[in-house]
Amino acid sequence: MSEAVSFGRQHTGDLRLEAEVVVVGSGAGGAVAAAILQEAGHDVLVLEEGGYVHPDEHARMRPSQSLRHLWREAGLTATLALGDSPLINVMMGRCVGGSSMLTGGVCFRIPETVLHEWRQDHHLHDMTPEHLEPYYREVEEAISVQEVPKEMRSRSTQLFGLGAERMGFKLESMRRNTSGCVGWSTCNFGCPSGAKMSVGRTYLPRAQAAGTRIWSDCLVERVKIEGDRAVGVSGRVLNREGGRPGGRLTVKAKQVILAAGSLYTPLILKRSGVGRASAQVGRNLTLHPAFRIMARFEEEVRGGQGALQSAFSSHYEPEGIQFNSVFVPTGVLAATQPGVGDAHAERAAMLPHLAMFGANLHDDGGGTVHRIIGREPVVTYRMADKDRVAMRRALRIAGQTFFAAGAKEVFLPILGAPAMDPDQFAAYDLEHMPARRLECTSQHPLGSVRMAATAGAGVVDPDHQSWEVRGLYVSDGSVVPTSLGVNPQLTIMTLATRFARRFLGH
Amino acid sequence: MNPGPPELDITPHPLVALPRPMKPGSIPLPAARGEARRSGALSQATLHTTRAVADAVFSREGHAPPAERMDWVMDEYADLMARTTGRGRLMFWAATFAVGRVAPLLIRRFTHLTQLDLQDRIRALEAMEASPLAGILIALRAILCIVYYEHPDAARATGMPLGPLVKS
Repeated sequence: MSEAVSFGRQHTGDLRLEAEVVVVGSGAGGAVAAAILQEAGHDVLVLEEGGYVHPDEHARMRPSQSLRHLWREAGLTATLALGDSPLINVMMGRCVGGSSMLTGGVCFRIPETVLHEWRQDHHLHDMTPEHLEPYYREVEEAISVQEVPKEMRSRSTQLFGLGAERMGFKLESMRRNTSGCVGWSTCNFGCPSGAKMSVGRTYLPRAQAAGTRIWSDCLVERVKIEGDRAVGVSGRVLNREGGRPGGRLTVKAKQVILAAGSLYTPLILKRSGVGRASAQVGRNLTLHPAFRIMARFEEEVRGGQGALQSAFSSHYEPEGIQFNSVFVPTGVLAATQPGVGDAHAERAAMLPHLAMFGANLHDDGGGTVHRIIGREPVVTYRMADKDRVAMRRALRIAGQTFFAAGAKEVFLPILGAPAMDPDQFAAYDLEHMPARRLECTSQHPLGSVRMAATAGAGVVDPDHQSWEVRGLYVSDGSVVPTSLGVNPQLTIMTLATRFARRFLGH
Repeated sequence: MNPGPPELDITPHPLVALPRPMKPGSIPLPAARGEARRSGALSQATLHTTRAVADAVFSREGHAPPAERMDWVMDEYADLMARTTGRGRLMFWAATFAVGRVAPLLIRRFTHLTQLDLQDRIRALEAMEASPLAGILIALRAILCIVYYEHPDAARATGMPLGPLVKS
């Protein structure tokens, strides 16, 4: 793919481009739309703020190198917590391929309960499984979605599964977009075997083969609007020393598709003056607050050997909880261990004995994206009461599950909480633990430019077009009307496919 | 100056196993080679304090890790910080500043962390970890851990098994 990527940082001076369709962002939403529109004969230009790293080069990186070169803010983006809420580390890609390069590859279809809510409460009447089926199929074939075989489960996942059975619930196999996974368990930081079918290996090469031009290092700041129509975008080329903004970027286009993600698409819209009438831009952000629970076993667990994500349980979905298998590289695992000096070394020596499982919450829209100063948004998040209850419940269930599997102690993601044996865990007052003490991450920001059936209720219409500006579309996770409760990659790509096909009049 | 990051020998060369071999010369390596996107840097004073924290966190039996290893860790840490945004650096500058000033006070030492000997630094950081300000130290230690355990000697010492589940 690399031959056709143009590097903004190597371009001298201002940059003026023209295209029939300009797509801002090259992740799961932008890449899919670009490929489908280009293959249908449109002249498509993709602009990406981040740099370009070939998936093979990414595969050779250490985790901290991946953080430095492909993750936004080197992985240090955090929300501002409002009230009794956790500070949430939001992880996103900033590279050609976007967050698709950094996912664990998990692919879930939209749960029927969520679709029902979209139809019932948001009046998006065609959001049915039957209507979405052909779009799902198209994406699933393109990115090689397949069930993770049970034999690819790590010992860490097997142990949680054993505990789950003893607790009365079961793990199910996940589906992921992989081909030839051998279980390096480093999906988030690059796939050493080239098995992850990110858009960098699928849709972007397709788009390029059909003629799409891709420019990296191009920061779009505004949509150019004349009357009530979008006519292009403007911004800066990141071509000064150190990748700083340099030359002016001006693109003339008949159609503008924003696919910069749930934190940056609203920022571009706000700078462009779009959405003032509805006051919906940047609101309703959901994050799927996620956390990991670890446990120490007598046996050597070797949690990093196996598919990074292979199994899940939606048994507690009625309570807003989904459990997902996950693991992390050695350094990240060590980062979760307490202690200084010998105490830390003692904990580090236990790493091979640690198992881990993740939980994420089907949250309410407690987040808001603010435009204040500078180029980065400020994100505030107020956790809903029901999500605080779900968080405590998830911690309790996960701890009990690991003990049911024979764990000697568990480590909760709570600031200042010690390692606990079964008696200490049973006595620990989780039910009154303040949410602000939770160590929490998010890989799934959604909903800040949501789709709605009427102008006042959202930012884009059911065809993804802005209610205010003709020729301006959004194709990323920000249009998702509510939290999904499951990993959103497949949803974003499916909605992007639906959008592109409808754009073409199919 | 250090000779640059050592090659990690903890995994086989990943491209050997690639089902889709990389085309020679097809991959521009700007980001991976580090000549672009360094948008700023932490001050030497901040890095000095960070080194004092790192030496204490990763010490064993009263000794800091080998200087060569910690030089490499600090170079990597500085590079990572140079590639985040200004607000990311501000956050870590503030965390480092707070640890450097506050941790000694918690063991009733009225000086900067860098002025303490290793044993007192460990005591000061342990006290901070047990205090309501633990989150500040944990954030700093987390990033240091991510980098530190990428050093082959440090990674080996954990005993974590390496490589994929399915061996070809």
